[in-house]
Amino acid sequence: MTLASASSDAMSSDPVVDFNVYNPDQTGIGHDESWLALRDQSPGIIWTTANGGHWIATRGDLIRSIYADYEHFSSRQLMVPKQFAISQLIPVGADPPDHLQYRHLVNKIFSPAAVKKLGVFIRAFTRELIDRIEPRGQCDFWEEFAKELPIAVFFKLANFPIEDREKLVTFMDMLLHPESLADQQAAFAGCAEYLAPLFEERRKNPGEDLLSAIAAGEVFGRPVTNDEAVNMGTSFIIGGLDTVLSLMSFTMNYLAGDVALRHLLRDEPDRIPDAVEEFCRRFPIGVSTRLIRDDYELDGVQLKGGDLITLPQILHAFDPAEYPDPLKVDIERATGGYSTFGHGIHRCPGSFLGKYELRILLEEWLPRIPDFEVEAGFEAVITPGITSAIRHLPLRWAARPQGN
Amino acid sequence: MGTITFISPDGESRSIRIKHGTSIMEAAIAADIPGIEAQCYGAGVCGTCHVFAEPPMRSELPDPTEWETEMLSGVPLAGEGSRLSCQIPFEDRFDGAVFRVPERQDAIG
Repeated sequence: MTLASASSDAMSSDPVVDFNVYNPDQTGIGHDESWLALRDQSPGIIWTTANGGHWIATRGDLIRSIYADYEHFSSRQLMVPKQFAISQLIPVGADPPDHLQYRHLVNKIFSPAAVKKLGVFIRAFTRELIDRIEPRGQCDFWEEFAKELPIAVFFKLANFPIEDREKLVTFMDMLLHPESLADQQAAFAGCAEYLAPLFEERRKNPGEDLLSAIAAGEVFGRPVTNDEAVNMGTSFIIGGLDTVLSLMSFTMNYLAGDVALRHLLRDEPDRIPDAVEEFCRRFPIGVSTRLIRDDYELDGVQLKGGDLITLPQILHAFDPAEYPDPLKVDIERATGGYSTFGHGIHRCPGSFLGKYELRILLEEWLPRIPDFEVEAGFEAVITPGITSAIRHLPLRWAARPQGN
Repeated sequence: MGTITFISPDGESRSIRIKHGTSIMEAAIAADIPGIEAQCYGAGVCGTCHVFAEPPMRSELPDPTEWETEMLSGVPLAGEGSRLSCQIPFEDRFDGAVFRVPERQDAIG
């Protein structure tokens, strides 16, 4: 990270850096360390010249309050730089009062009561996956577990045909990690083409699933249009596919190196919910963006209407004012309220589901495979981006002898 | 950390531990407190985590935002002390707070 020349948008006295929020480690000091270095340089609001130029909030209290402040910060633009569109997505990119109309359609689908019902399926499928890999004594956790379970759960919830898995994962990758604007536009078009007939079908034969809830929904006193349905479906493909996989990959990479915590959670499974909370805090995966509506002064910085500001969830998790010794995983922490799922009206609709899946994974995995490690010599690499993940995680454990 | 108590419509009370910064709703859902649905799980858009904050702590809680007040106007059975429990992050000074659970919750919208 280097100091860059002042931009036209930042006042000359404001701190300016050249920091790529989607690829923070430019100097090889490490992913977490790069974020910490940014925060230490300017705990507050800082301007970066990378990605077209935008603000970054680097302190926990600011990140939380901006997430919740829809009056000054619009969700119409969810990514930097400006030309990458992920915009006008509903409900995630809608502002009040319209937002509420759309968000109501899906509340029940993701409610704790509905997720707990789905728990039967989640647990059964988790056991099946463990049955498959346990006797081998090894797996690539990303490929053989993380990519399997959350995607199967999401497909069940939305009632997508499971054979369309690769297609949707490809769309999701092109939307969230686009190499070009053309890539992203092609993925939007691909999603629309894929989703339109599905919504058509659900309108005729509605079920209890996410797509049916959207297809049969009413907004502003009229039925949801095809364009709106396709738009919402695309939103949930973006939000629902990548995130839980990432959370699981970070968690298992960590647990592979912490035998004391593995055994504690195996012996006292009622501590698992506390552990899930701490993993959600310690390994947040997203960098959200907000559009500054009008000129606004915050924390001594004059923000200009029309500029973008990013909210790295990790810098709330790493704020020592709220989380002392923030890099340490400590399930006894006395503080919650992290930003991993956002705050306010756009708080992640799937947050209970994500936490529940991780809880079931730990409840099922640890009694069966309490001792596992990352393959000798393998160093987990964090793939950064709008969502970050460990996309290759070879785990090893002592295979059970045949017949046991 | 602190302790909060929920009183069910039939008068049964249950006390649970809660962390600083965690919302009253999240703690209730984690402890399976009956009668709190929290369909949107914290976005403040469904109105189904409605509780009545009881004195004396009622007046110590931060005032509802304009958004919460607006949402509460659409909640069934709303009355004295009505709050959306997802909109109240716990602070250690709220230790001992008591919340009454309403007889029913209906989603707004």
